[in-house]
Amino acid sequence: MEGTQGIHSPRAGGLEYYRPRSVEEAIRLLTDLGEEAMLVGGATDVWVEMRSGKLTPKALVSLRGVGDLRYLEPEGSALTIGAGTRHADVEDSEWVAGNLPALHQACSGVGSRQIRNVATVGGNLCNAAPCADSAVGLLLYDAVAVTQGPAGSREIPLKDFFVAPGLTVLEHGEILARVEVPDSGPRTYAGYWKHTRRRGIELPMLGVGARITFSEDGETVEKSRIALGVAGPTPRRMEEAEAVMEGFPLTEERVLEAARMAAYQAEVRDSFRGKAWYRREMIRVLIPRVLRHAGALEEVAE
Amino acid sequence: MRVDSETGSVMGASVDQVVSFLVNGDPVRVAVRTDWSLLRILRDDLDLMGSKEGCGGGDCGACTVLVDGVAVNSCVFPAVEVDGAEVVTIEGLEAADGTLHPLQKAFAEYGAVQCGFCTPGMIMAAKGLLDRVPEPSEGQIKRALAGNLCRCTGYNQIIEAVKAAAGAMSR
Amino acid sequence: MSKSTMDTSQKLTPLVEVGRSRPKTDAGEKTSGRTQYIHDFSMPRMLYGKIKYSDRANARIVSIDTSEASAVPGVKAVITGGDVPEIRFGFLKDNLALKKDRVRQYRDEVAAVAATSPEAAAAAAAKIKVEYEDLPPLFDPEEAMAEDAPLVHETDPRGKEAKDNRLRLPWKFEAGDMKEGEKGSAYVAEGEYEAGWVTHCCMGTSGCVATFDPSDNLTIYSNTQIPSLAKSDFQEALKAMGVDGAVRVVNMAIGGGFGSKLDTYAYEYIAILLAHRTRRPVKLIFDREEEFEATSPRQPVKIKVRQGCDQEGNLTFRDISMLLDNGAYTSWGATTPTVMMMPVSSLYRVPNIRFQATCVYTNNTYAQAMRGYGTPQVTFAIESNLDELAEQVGLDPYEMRMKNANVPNETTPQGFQVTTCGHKRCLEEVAERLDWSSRRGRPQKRGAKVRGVGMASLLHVGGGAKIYKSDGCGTLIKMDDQGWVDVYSGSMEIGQGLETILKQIVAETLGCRVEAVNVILGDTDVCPWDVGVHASRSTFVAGNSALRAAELVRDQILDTAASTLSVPRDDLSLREDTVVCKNDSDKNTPIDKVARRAHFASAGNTMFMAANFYEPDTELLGEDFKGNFSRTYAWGCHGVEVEVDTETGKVDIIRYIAAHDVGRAINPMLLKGQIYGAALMGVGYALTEEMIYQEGRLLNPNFRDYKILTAMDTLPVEPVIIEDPDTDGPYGAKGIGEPGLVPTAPAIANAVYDALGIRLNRVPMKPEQVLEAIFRNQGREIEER
Repeated sequence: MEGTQGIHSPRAGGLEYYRPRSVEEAIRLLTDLGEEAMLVGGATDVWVEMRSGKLTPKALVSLRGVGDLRYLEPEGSALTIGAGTRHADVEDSEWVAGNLPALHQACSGVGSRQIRNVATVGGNLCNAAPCADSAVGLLLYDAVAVTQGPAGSREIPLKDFFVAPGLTVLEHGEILARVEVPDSGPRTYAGYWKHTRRRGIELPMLGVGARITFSEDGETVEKSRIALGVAGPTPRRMEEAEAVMEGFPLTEERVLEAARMAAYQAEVRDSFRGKAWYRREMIRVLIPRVLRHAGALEEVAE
Repeated sequence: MRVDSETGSVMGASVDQVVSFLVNGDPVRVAVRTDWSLLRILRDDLDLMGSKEGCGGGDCGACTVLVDGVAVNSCVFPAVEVDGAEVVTIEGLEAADGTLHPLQKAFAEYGAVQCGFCTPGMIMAAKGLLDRVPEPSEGQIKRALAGNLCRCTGYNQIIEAVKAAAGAMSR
Repeated sequence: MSKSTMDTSQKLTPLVEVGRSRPKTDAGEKTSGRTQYIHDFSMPRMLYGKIKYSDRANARIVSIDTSEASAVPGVKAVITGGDVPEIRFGFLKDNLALKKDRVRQYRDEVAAVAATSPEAAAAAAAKIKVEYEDLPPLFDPEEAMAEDAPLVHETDPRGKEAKDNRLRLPWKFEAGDMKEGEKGSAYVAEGEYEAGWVTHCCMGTSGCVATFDPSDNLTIYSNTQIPSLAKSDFQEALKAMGVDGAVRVVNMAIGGGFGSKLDTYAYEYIAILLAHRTRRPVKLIFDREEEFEATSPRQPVKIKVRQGCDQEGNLTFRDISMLLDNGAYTSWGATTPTVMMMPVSSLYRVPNIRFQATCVYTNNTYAQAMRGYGTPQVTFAIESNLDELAEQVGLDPYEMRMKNANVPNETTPQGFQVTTCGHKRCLEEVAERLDWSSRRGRPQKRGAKVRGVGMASLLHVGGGAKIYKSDGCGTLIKMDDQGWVDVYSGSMEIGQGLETILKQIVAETLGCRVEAVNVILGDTDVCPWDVGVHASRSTFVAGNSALRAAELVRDQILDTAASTLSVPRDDLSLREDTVVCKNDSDKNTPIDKVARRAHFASAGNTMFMAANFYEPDTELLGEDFKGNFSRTYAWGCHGVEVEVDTETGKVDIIRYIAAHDVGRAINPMLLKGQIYGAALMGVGYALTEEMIYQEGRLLNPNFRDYKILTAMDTLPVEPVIIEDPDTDGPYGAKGIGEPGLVPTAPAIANAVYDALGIRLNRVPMKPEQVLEAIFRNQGREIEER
């Protein structure tokens, strides 16, 4: 659009924009306005898609002003993240950096600082892009989405939250209120690597997250988690690959086998952004690296 | 007053919303359409042309301003959301008597300005950083400026300038 | 040869302004948001223009329905090729401002709208309905050369029937005797190299504001790098429109050039047509998507190279042929072979040369000038191939280069008269700083990562380039009676710091403060002619012109002072705003006082002012493409240490040495800025940037998917400035605008070879390409599953 510095809204009568002050008000608005109203957190993604004409909602209901949704509440080693939390809040949190390193790495790499200052974790999840960095980070820690809607509240494990690119299980009028990250337990090593062509302001070509929680003996894998972004229609866990490691002593061989399995099963595509064979190969290469770098495996000199 | 895109007529009472906010310390009231960005009202309504449109999509940072103290891409920031906020643009950095901010002085002194198109956004992003982290490392500077594209300088002298400004500001 | 009065003993003596790392004089404005770019400019009653582009790669235009568009409120004009005078432009005049009857690429301008708001203009443009009859498109230059290929242009610009899609351009060069050269070769290295489309990515997009006064005089507020030539182009357009008026080109501050504004574009003529039709100012600004799609990128090229040498490694011949995808219309991309000939014929001392370039029409985008003007592409081939040849001989690549390096005071096979030449020094600096002798040939492995070193050198023009009938630049200078100096130059500030450089040169010459010098650029009503900001020529040519004009003014000042002070002229000099008398300091007089004495004298009143048109003493290349087309030449060498991740294919830059033969650094800080910026642009070119086209359509017209490098990719560049004052440059300076990105790709490719033993021959050297090559080396298959 030539010099418009905004959206050329193709809808007659323009765009309706609401700034509720509470979650209840937001739910009421969404219900009253109907299905052509969209919820936004920071609007950074939606604004761009409206500009290009991909999205044409009748109304936007913005949660930016709902201060109640913006918080990070640690409790012991567990964390509750308000859906309105900005990625920058996560990036600046020493607690998250120390306790949930993979989530910290994932959120800290989203876009640029300017984007992170505005874009919310909730918005990133509900946008349900295949590449959502925060989603991959949260999947590793068995996060649970907690919603509020006209019908009440629901708890949805994040691995069941995404349906398709741009689509979650949320009903219209239902708002993602917070994400609960349970205690991952001591002896947990996790990391997230965003594979990109350049170092700054990138959507990932591939997002690779991995986590190991050892049992008391310090050798057997009690919980293993592998999560990938841009390796399927939605961010996803690779459960068969995880099963290769879970319940067994962690060895280099098992890690490599799990990585091969994840690579084999990943639904990577050829696109002008990257070739499928390359993404597949990177899954195989990067999972062991993420685990080594996180401290789960002996650090091989790289 | 803007021209309505549907009727071609000057918009009077048919504006969508009115926002009141502080820009560079001055209170302003602007009538905005809901599909306008903050960048648009800064440039078109408030005559603050320092912030630039480099891409319109939040990918280049040329439009960076501070909203309530943090750096944002004003081209993807809905104008209606600025109601009640404090906005600082490049025009607001210099002192009332025209003395340039240490960042502005350092950019000039260290050769960090060539064509200058990215410069206002770059300086505002740097300000956002220095307000948060008064003595940033080189890595922190690079991360803070990762969303500000520059085609002319290669960034080397920009990074030196930010370091120097941090030093000057802490003194 | 017009001599500068600068005497050689002054060459590296400490000067007051020249050599000083002074901040750019426009930095205060730029850092405070005051600078006015075209985007910030508006006029009363201004309309907004919007172009409707083709959505076919190759088709006949059956009909255009503008009725709905015209009905959009606020629309004041809708124009198509059918209802405006035909304006032809471009190097071969095969391009039309608004396309008629046929579209030949996706970016073809089919119609345009002027309206009272950008929204109305965009809404109207979207409502223009075009009916097409598809024609078979050509996207591959090789296919376009086939005998039965459909014709992109059925006739040539003069109306003669075209036989095929080849452009009738005489890009052939020969020197010496190829057969002798081949006979005398003990070793020959052969290779094929490829470079695709990359683009300038100026942060400020293209745009202009065109306006006519009631007498049909046109003023166009512009971004152009060629104000004087653009004025001629627009003058011709007015003629074609049947409009009898003058043209004034006024430059706003430019948000980046890099060659993107070295030619006129259809949008400028469209703005002019709209302005004339509506009788109101029309502003036409590209958004970022348009900037990617509708401006012209760097010329892509497929290169075949052969180089030979004797037993000892002395180069015996160089044989290069290339195929250029010309796109559907012709701009400067098609002329890049004339500049590519420069390194082909003269980088290193090679006695026997053969060069041939074929340009072919296709339905792809058409290319323009971009920093380096072909030399990055061809240097990638030459310098990569040279390493391969060195390996055959068993010579270290640095030794090979030193052995064949250019030297001062020689004439090259293309007729270039080399005066100063810092080639060897640049090579030596790189070798020493990279610790070449202990590093080269000994890749360092650490886990999956391997480090290696590589180098490549460059040759570029350093003193302008006579590629047009004149390579000159004019300057006018005046001093008022308070001692303020105004300098009017035909050149342009495009961010490179020319305004500051001219101030420093003039201040040095007149012995006055830099603050007292004002430089006026970018208004054809006011400034003399200049051929344009290209070929890294501005410091040299505009600088020399300003220097000579300043010398004339200096002479006037000294003459007047000698007369009024009654001292011999030779006793006087200018320093610190004062006329200084060598033997009698009591006679020292402030310059402005002398100016008033001259201006308000009782008789023979005069004002200090002068004009100079500096035409470098050079030659247009002859039909054989031989001739000394620049006053001096510049060399450089880049050395790189890379780290290749053999499991991901990513190439990281660990060290980067950029040594440049600059003659004299007028402002070292600004010069380094050129090197830093060009090096990063070069690394982007080498590793990450590509315009991804699919059947003529650009898939990545934005900064998300077109990967220009960010602050986090900043290079550890160590600039090395080699100063050996040039005989002809102003205070000894040579040009530096382009050299910084000419050798980056081969330096990196050569370093990758050192690390892995793998030769990459296509830019960008993406991780996929690197990894694929590694797999091939290991005998591994790529699993397509």
